[in-house]
Amino acid sequence: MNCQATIKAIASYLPPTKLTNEQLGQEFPNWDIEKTFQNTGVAIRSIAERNECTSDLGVLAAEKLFTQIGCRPEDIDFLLFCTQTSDYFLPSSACVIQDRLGLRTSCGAIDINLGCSGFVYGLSLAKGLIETDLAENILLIVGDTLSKVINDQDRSARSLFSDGASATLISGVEADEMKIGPFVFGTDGRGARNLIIPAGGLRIPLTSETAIAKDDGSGNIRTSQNLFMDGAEIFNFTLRTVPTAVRQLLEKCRMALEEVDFFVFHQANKFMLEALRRKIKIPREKFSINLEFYGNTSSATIPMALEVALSQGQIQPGAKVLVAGFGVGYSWAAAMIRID
Amino acid sequence: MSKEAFMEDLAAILEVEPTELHMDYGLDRDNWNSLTIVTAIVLIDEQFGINIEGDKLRQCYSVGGLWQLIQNGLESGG
Repeated sequence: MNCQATIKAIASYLPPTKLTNEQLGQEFPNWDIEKTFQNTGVAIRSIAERNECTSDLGVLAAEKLFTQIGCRPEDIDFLLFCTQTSDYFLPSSACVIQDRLGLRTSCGAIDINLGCSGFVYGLSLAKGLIETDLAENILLIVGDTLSKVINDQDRSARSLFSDGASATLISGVEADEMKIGPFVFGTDGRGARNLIIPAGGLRIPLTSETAIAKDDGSGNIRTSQNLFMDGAEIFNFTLRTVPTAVRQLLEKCRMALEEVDFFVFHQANKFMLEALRRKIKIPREKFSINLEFYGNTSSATIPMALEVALSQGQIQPGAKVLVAGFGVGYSWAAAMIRID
Repeated sequence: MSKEAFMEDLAAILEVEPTELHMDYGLDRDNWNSLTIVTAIVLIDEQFGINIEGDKLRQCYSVGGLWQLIQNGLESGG
């Protein structure tokens, strides 16, 4: 028997303020909101309060997790916090969260700066820490508050993205069988400019010029301090990369597609997920679509979809689940997991 | 994949009858937007197994131009 990292529990938090399709339809009366719903699959988005940061959502998700499974803050010996909407340039939000949650001061805590692929990368780091005996109980918090960086007049982005955070407890157990992994990873920085907030970092500091709003030619208005997404290029990247990553992972696992019990991909949008499902030839009943009441919550979509699939019995104990995250960077990762 | 089958699916994306679609049919801001372009990207990937850059698609002003892009993509191996 070996020490194997495993997912013990997942809990998520969505802020209570909602943005519905009806509200968006009132703001953009010339927009076909029904057609947008068919494509995005999103009916309701959650919006963080003005003074509420991703770390706040993460703390609430973690407290929910602790209550749910009777875990105590002092049991955690490593915190991984994945976000692209940090509280500060520095310090790491993970350090702030360590204090807020009352984790012990002997706890390691680091931020991971990734978006849609972040949860899968977080799992890989947690596995590494546990199976090399560096930590026993890892709290992985993922999430974003993208509503804060999307322009009010960017209807495409507003229709997709939602705020939220998810907390996952990963611990070591004695077992013969691997519970998390194998993994495949991928990075292609040539796609950095296709999903980006160009200004506000040190490369392009905030100026009066970066605050000028411009129409992108398709009716969406934004400044270079806002989130920009080239949807067409993101689609091309995804269709090119994700099926290959899934094939590579199956080869690494020496498994056929049919042997996988359930698939949870990053919930980008329904149209993209359906295109991937058809291309990879995944049966509809084995494929998570969890967008309607959640929206695209960046790195939190996979744990949120896992939580829903577990609660609805789509994932049975011991099932082999293929998770895949892909997007901003470009960055992607896929892994096979078993949740007992 | 045949040109006829592609034109039929493209007509559905542009919400016109297949008989209305011809090589000179114009693509403009009203019918060739972010939504129809990503739908076309998926269609081209499924039917021809190639990816065409978003910028090239956005600069397409007719169905004939789009068809030419696909032919160019097929010749260069996608």
